[in-house]
Amino acid sequence: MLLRVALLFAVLASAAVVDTAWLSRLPLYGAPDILLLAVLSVGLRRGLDAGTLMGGVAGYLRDLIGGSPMGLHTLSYLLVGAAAGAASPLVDLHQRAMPAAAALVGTALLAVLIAGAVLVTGVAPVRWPVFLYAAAVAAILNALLAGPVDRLMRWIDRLAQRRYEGRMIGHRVPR
Amino acid sequence: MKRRLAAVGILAVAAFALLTSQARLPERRTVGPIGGQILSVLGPVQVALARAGDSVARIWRLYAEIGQLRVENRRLREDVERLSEEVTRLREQAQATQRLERLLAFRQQTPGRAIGARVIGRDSSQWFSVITVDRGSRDGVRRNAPVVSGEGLVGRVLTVTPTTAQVLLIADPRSAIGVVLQQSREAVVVEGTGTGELRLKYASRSREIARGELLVTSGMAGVFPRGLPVGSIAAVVREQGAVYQEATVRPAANLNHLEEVLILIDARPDR
Repeated sequence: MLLRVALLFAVLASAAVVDTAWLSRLPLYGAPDILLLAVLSVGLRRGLDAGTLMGGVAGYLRDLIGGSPMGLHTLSYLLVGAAAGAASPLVDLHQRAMPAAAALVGTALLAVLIAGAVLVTGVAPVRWPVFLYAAAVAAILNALLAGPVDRLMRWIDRLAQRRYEGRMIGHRVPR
Repeated sequence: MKRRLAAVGILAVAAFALLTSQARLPERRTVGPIGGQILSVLGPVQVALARAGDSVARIWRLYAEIGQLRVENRRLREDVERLSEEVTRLREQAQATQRLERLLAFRQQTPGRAIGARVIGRDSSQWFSVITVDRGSRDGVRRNAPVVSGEGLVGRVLTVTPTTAQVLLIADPRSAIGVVLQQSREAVVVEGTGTGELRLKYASRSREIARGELLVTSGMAGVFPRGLPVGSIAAVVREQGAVYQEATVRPAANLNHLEEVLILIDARPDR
């Protein structure tokens, strides 16, 4: 269990650093969000608890490293992770298009949550045209990257599962 | 399930509380001790990644610049070629303008009517010196009409068609012109040699001929008006026992590079 937590935390930390150090500098007026894709992958495959925790930690790291007001992304990612976990029993994980579809829906939900949190708390002005354009670009890029990130997360899951086989009974683990 | 949803709700409320507490702070951000520890660990990684990203971006920019430089280099080469052609054309125009200005000045000094003509052909053999111009009998050109350039006498019209005329240059071996030495006013004859230079004949030995002395048409043969520059003395030949002295004359006009000439339509030799 500790290995799984450590691996997931390392993945999230790496994703947060890559997001802020590299992907945010792409000249695309909108950047892909690997953190979100990792949260969606874990939430959809491992359920509500894992999705919520994964989202909370991912959002916290995003707030921490990205420099946004603490709690903004924590709350948003946490709710997206919880939503992915709650939707877990309803989706067919063997569909090839599932990661891309989940990325599109998840990105839209995250954008709505962040915009709502910003509006409610007034931590920043919302420039709607820029915000919507960036969200649309991010949704497309996330949909393109969702497949590879999902495969990476499954590989990490299998790596941890091999070490702790037997303890994982009761969890939904894909092949 | 309800308990799990409640846990999610509690976490969400906690996150919202964290956000609202941050929103109330003047700087709107406090990471706390745990956040500080995480940041201190991830900070160097982020710096290293950012530097690596910068390096990649620099290499990419360099690569892109090389491509742009290639395109720009090609465009500049095309510009250079185009401008070189333009310079050549303008230089040609400038030289033509200078020649025409000299012709115009010469024309104003020349009696009678004169028309400008462009050289459109040249005898290709090395024996004769004949050019063809784009003016003929329709323009009033007649046989034996004198032809001059901005520098001096070129020759006379040999044959005429309605639209063109052939001009026998003074360097042609068939050409002989009556001239006078400008300083001594001695009348002599200048013949063509076919080599581009002229031969002065029948000059009295009683007088020294100086190199560089000018020769002008005498106007006595009935073909050329008086006073047209013909050439200058290049070298004097004084053979022992000869009755006359001879000399080599360099034509005043550049007969090898004629492009525009003046044809004197009704020049009067006696003027």
